[in-house]
Amino acid sequence: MASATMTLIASQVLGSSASSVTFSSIPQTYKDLKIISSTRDISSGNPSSNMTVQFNGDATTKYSQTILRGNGGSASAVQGGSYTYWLNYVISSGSASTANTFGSEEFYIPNYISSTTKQSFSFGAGENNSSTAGNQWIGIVANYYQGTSPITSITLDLNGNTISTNSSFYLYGIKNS
Amino acid sequence: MATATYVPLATQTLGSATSTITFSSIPSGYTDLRVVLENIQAASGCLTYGRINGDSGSNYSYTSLYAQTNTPNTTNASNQTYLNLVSAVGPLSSSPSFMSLDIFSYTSSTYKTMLVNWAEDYNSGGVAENNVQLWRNTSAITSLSFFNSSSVNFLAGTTATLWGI
Repeated sequence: MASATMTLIASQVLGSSASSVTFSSIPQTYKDLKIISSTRDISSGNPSSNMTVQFNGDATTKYSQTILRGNGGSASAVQGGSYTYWLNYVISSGSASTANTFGSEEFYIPNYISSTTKQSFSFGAGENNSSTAGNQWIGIVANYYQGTSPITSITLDLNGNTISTNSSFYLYGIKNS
Repeated sequence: MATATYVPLATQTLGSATSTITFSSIPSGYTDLRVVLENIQAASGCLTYGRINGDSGSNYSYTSLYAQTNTPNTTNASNQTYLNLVSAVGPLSSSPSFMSLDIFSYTSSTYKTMLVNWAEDYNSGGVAENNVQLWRNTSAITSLSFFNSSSVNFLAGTTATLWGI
């Protein structure tokens, strides 16, 4: 029988609101990691808000990104470096958005156990049936992390805001054999 | 032994031109769903739409980010009566397109969000598009259907696969 190549490592579905979610003690037995999350921000007044990601508790300026983004009215791109986190910032539906809507995010992190720097692709969006451009976002992000230690923990938060009940986070490990 | 988490539930390869591709009786035992349409070809230029559980009410909306040439574009629409899976250039008769549709928490009691990748290139042009879809309904998803604008048929060879994750 063929071996599973995509395996659920851990999941967190919030039964109550939280300030952050951490996957720790990530097994070092896969090639790549994938995170799929659905989130809602209940403290931001904006229809969309931002998700941040840090590895191994590292809050130093090792993070950089190039982002292509759109809000229904205009498309643009931005690049920045020396961040203290990855900012998947087009993402989570905020407290001002339509009730019952959640933002969706995917991160793909190859070679997470390597002793080299790490690159990642992410895709995220918040959609809430608003006809007003700017009340929703979609973004495609190239991420770069200059840390060289294997990734053993990942912390996700909403840039200091509160994550809603029923937000969900799934961490998958992927093998290539 | 680890349990497989990426499970093919159904696949269809069209043997003849067909107006609608449907997955029905979708089991509820997974967290997410993924639909992959590949080798998408249509009888003439059109856009590709979708519906969930046969719902034709004004319960769909989307925001799209795409590029056809050198300039990115974005658009959005609310209160639609279908999933608008591609907003730039849809399937053609002369070259195949690819689409993946990720549906998150499809059995949850919240509204459903979906992320779409659409790609096609025909040498003299093409489109790369990502979009997010929202279906404002709290029911579990049990069926999905895909069809084209102006009732344009999908051509033989178009393949659709449904995965449970």
